[in-house]
Amino acid sequence: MNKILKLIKINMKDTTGRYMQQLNTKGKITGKLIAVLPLISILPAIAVTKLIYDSFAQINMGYLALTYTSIGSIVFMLVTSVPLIVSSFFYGKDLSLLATLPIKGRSIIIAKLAGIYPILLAISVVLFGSTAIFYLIDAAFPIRSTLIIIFILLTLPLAPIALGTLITLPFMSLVAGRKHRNLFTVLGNVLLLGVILGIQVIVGRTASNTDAIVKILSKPDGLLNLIGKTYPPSIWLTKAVAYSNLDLLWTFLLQVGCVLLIFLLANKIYDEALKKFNQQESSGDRQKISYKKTNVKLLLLRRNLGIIFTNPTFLLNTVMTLFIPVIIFVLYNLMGIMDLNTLNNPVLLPFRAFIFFGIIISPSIMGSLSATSISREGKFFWETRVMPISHQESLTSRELTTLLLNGIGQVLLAIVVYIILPIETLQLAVVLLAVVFFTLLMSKIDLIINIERPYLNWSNPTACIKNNMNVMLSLGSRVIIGGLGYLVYTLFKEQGSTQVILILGLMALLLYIISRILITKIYLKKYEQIDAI
Amino acid sequence: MLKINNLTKSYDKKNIALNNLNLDIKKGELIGFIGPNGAGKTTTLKIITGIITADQGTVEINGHNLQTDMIATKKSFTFVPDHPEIYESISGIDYLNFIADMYDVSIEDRKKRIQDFTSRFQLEGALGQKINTYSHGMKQKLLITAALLPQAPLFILDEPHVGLDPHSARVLKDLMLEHCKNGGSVLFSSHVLEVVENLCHKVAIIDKGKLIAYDTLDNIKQNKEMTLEEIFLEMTDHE
Repeated sequence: MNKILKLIKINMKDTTGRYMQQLNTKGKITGKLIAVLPLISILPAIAVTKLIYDSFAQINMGYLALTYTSIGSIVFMLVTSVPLIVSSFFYGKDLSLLATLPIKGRSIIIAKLAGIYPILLAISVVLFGSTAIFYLIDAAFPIRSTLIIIFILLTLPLAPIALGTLITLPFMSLVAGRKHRNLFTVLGNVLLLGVILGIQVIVGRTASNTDAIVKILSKPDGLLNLIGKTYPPSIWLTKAVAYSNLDLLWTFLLQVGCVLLIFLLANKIYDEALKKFNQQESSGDRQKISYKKTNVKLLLLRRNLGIIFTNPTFLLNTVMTLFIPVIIFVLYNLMGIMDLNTLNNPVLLPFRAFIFFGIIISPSIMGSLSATSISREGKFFWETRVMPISHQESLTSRELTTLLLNGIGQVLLAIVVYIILPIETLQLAVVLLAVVFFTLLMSKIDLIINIERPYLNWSNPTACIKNNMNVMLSLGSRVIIGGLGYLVYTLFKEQGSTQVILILGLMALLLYIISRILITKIYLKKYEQIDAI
Repeated sequence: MLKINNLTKSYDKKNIALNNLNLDIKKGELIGFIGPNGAGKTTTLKIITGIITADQGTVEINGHNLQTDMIATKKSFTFVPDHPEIYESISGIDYLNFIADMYDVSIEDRKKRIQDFTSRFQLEGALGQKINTYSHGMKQKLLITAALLPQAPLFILDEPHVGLDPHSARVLKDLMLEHCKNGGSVLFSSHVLEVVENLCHKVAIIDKGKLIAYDTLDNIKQNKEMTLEEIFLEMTDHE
């Protein structure tokens, strides 16, 4: 146990050191502002949990908010845990070192899972913890409930960790040793997340069956059972907090079960999945030798795409951020949640172009691809420094990469949305034009962020694209752009949706031109000063 | 000290990286492990150290079987990889303490040994710095210091001289010899044949996954007036 703790400690030190280095900006005030950014980003989530709690509190059933947010936390944690497990277990660079040390495989697995725990705990604290505080304030902090809530809060990540590990690692073991293992990894993860979302939707729909609802509601704790149907342990924990010792026992046993399961399977996971996956890839398949000449711009574009496609963490992140809106949209349509009747409701007619615009722009909003375009290069950044290409060419190729990837997601989304939610040709043209201008603008802003804060010295690809302040800053810029957009909407809403979107597009174009000038005048010089490692 | 029996490893069941490799290293021996690029040196060292597993064969270190007695086996050796990939956002001293903890090195011993090795490598001044500020050579020296800390019987190094300045390269040679004098054994791979020729008790030559020679340099030379480089080229030249 002592060695597991030492392993966890060194991992934590390394992660904290990395985070502190990222915060170490030249300006002290900027550093402090950046440090509080994650806190700002959780405020909307807390506002939502308050809204959920208030809704239930109005019918004197505030405790149901605990059921509701515990399910939300579990799904969110499970979805988050999958890429974290893949990145930390299979693409972390410390495995070669750990494999030679006199420690059990089980210790390595547990230490690595312990590294994922704080991230999931943060989700649990924001979603479930904030709801629990609203509940406890109203209940005047009864000792029994407070202690049980603290226990639940701390142990809530255990089930998603156990489940995420159980799902991910056997799959990775299956993929290990295959020729296109990285591609399989990405496809498998997308499929897995689709399945998780799909199960939620299917169970949710079953629960919303009218007969089933009547049947459930007629029983004691009917509403609780209805809400908690997608994840029964959420019913136990709610009852445990409220009154039931038996449900407290079930909740406790579930957590103990999760820990035992991880302990029992850890050695097997280490041998069968982790070690197997990290065997060197075959060098047997030889490509056909070609001496074909390629255009420099195309070559740079291909190089940037190659950096994403050859790293499963980057590829998974790109696929997820660009195509999650597509997956959710298609899934929700198939399941009938966002069906034609809802979307074609006459009440929504004046907002149809806005809905269309909002859905199609989502890959650019969520993508933040340019915000990590320099960072993603990591130790390969020196190549662009020694190649006989201008800095402008290098930056343009990064933007083109972002535009190409965003464009693919947006075109797919536009086709699907147009079939479901057709709009007039003129409206369509204006919406697409505005989407292009906004995408260009966001890509430029992200590039500025990455030039200001290049993060090349990463050892874990997740740290480069996720645990990265650049992504937070990029999302922050979206909030500001969104605020400006809302201002334009309130000023011109009488003009009609097409005109408002056109004005929004022109605003984006103007800002894009300004950011382009900024890059040429200031940031090109700053880009030159980035030191390769 | 190290017994390798019939070690075989293939990738994709097609490309054979190691073919029935046998090696026996005695106590006090310093062995140079040489071979062309892609011959199987790193694969062999990775299997011995438990980073990857062999398809067939056994590895025994200091009487412990790697497959059946993993922890005791791993306590019997330390390893310096060819690429210094370690936790980078911690300080040098944090890393050394971590390794010392993993091998249960007492506070007194670690203090004495860290001071000794880092002063010989002229690394004392950098111990408080973050590893990501180190040069390649400094990282290499830190890894060697860490590997020497537990004073495990077998010291395994994969191309340890890459990136070292002449002073540090000399210190490393002295340390390897001292380790063997004290009853330990050293196995290191290298492309610097002069070092192998001047330092090692025995030389193991691997080519295309097969051990083509394993003996003292004199026996390998067979009374010919040739350097190790000339013998190596003769044995591995397939043109």
